[in-house]
Amino acid sequence: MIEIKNVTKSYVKNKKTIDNLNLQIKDGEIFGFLGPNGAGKTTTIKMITGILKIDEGDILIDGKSIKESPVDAKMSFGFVPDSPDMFLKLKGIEYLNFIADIYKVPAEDKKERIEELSKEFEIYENLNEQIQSYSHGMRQKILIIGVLLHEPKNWILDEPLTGLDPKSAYDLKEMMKSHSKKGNTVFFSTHVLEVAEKLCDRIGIINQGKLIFVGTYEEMKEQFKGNNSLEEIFLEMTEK
Amino acid sequence: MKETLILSKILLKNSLNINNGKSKLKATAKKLLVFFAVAYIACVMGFLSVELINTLKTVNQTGIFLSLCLILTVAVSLIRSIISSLQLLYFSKDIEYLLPLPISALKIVLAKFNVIIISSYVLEIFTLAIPLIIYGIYMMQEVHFFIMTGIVFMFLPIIPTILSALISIVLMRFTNIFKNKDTVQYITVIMAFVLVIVMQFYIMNNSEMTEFMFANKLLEVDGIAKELSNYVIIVKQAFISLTEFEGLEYVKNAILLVGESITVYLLTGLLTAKTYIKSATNITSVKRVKNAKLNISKRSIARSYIDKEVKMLFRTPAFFLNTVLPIFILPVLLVLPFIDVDMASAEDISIAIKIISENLQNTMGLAIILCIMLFLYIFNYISVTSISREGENAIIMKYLPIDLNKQCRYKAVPGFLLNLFPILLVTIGIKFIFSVNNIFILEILLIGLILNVFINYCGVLIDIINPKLHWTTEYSVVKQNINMLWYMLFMIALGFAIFAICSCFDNIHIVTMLLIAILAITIAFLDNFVKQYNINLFKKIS
Ligand SMILES: Nc1ncnc2c1ncn2[C@@H]1O[C@H](COP(=O)(O)OP(=O)(O)OP(=O)(O)O)[C@@H](O)[C@H]1O
Ligand SMILES: [Mg+2]
Repeated sequence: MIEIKNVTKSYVKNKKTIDNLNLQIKDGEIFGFLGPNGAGKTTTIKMITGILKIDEGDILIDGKSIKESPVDAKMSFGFVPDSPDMFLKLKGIEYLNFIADIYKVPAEDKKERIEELSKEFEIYENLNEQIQSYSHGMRQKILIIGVLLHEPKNWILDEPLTGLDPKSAYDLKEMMKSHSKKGNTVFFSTHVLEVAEKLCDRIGIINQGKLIFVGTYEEMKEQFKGNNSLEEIFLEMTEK
Repeated sequence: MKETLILSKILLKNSLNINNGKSKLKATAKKLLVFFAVAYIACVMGFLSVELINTLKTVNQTGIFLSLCLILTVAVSLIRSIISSLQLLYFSKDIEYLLPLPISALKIVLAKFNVIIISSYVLEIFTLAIPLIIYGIYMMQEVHFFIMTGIVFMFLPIIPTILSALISIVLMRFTNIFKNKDTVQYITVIMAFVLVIVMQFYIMNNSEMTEFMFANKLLEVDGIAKELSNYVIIVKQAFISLTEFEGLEYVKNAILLVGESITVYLLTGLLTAKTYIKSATNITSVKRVKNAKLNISKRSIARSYIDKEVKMLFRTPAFFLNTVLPIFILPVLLVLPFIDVDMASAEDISIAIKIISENLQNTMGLAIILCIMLFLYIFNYISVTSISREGENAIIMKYLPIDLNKQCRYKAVPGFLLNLFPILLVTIGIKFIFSVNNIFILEILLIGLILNVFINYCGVLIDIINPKLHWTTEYSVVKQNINMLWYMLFMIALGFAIFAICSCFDNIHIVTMLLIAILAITIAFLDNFVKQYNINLFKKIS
């Protein structure tokens, strides 16, 4: 469960990048976060994950405030950032070892999970190579495996599907579904409207730092009767 | 032509990281800091120059001074550019953005050359501009001399720099083992270091330090220089254009120098453009590995984190070569001249050692030893670049579930560990050379260790407050990082503080305890401060 309470953020004075944002992502829910470029999606995600300081308001993850008890809050989510170019000098396996140690994955589970996940994502053969030799999608996969490895209750993913091949994208979507079925939370941003439509239990649309819609796909259709496709609705909503 | 200039300008700005919207005050502070550092070095150079000119006056050979500066400039720009041209031509991130642009290969190469040349002007200020201007004023030269100095300044480094660029282009083109870009960097820099050590050995072996002998030595060096300049034509031409002011000989030589430089510049550009683009698109820094067994083991958070830090440090050539290697090489370079003492003076030295031994075991001796230690610590930039080195990835510090103050502690560890080398060097050196008692050695060791903790932790903090995260080449993090300057100033201030404290007491044990207590309390205080201040301290990282 992720609760965003009255959050405001400005990078520069007098210009609110995020303006009084309220959002609650419940357990067992896949939540898609949509919005045009520069709307504030990454900024929001950075505040949830403790990368950016929150100017006003607070964010709770499983009831733990990222402001007050950051380490506890960080323990209960896994995060895939939008740019996967990280730890390039480490080998894949070294990165996974590092993550498992940091998140205190029990020794007995560690080996099994690493092998299982990396085989699932077809990256097992490359684990002994440095991440700098990986393609964009492979880098993304290694970060995603890193998240799955420590089995956090909450997944926070910034544009996780860009760059994945069809099979891996399919796998990831299936994993998101099964994760949420177990009563966990998935929060991700995307530009792909069909994904949001088919995968998400609820969607939120943000534009210029303000939340302009939250609800299910059906509710949105209801609200905009004239339009048929999500694309048209999206364009109408954000075109102001 | 215009395109090339624009491109050079952008590349230069990008590599210097000039445009990063800072507040005016901070930008001014930074400029001031750089200004003072430059002014300081300039003063030192100026002082040395005057001394040298005076010495040479005793043998009526002031011209040697000029040829020394010229040779030095050529040598320095050659050696320095081998490293920087590899880095700028092949290993900077901007290549990926440049190659798809509709700009001809020649223009890209020339723009890259320009950047390399301009960056060698910076060193030339110290090896040529300042000494020559001082020479000019001191020897009361006429306007010609200064105009010629300007021309020589502009054109002398061009050929050496282009030559080294050519060397690296040829290397990258024809050598298969060099396909791996990490290997190239290790090899070239280590070669350069070996060269410097050999040169130092050579010079030290031949030097005797009375002023007259020294001047004679210089004559000998001048002989070599003359010999060399038969081959290095540009030095000869530069020399003539700076000295032969009767007739038009100097104008002729200056024109030749300028003409040759421009020809070499353009010709090399024309000849290498195609090759360069081809090999720049053809390098990787990846070693193929046979599928070895996966190594999966569980370790504590601290172990794992520190292990990651060390791996990233050692596996990035630019970082390793600029932060780790100097810790070992520089003390050796500094110690070498003392090892190589003349046998004739052995007796004097043993007397000197005896006198020092008797006077070492007091608070002032302690202060001096600690300052020597601090001086050796200055070459260790691991902690003060620990955040900057991560570049844009530094944000992971903020979402990992580890307290930020703990991460700071972990980040200070590699620097701490590598500093054990200078500590051992100093303590073992003192133990074996001077006869001092073991308690004194132990005290040095203890203070050295806690000092080591302190400075590394402070290094990390300096870097956190203002990290350089957006860089195009790894070299700029460890070469053009203002934090390194701050760190140096901090160490100097610390040295003065230690002197001040030591001079207040007579009893070594009291001073030792006092220093340890002060340092320990400060460390605890800082650690607590980081914990309290937490995310506010890290706001530059996002
Ligand atoms: N470091 C920064 N400094 C100043 N302004 C920033 C910074 N990062 C983002 N912004 C501004 O904040 C706004 C929101 O950016 P954000 O990255 O959150 O957008 P986004 O919704 O993730 O867009 P995209 O779909 O392109 O990823 C933009 O207007 C951007 O210009
Ligand atoms: Mg974004």
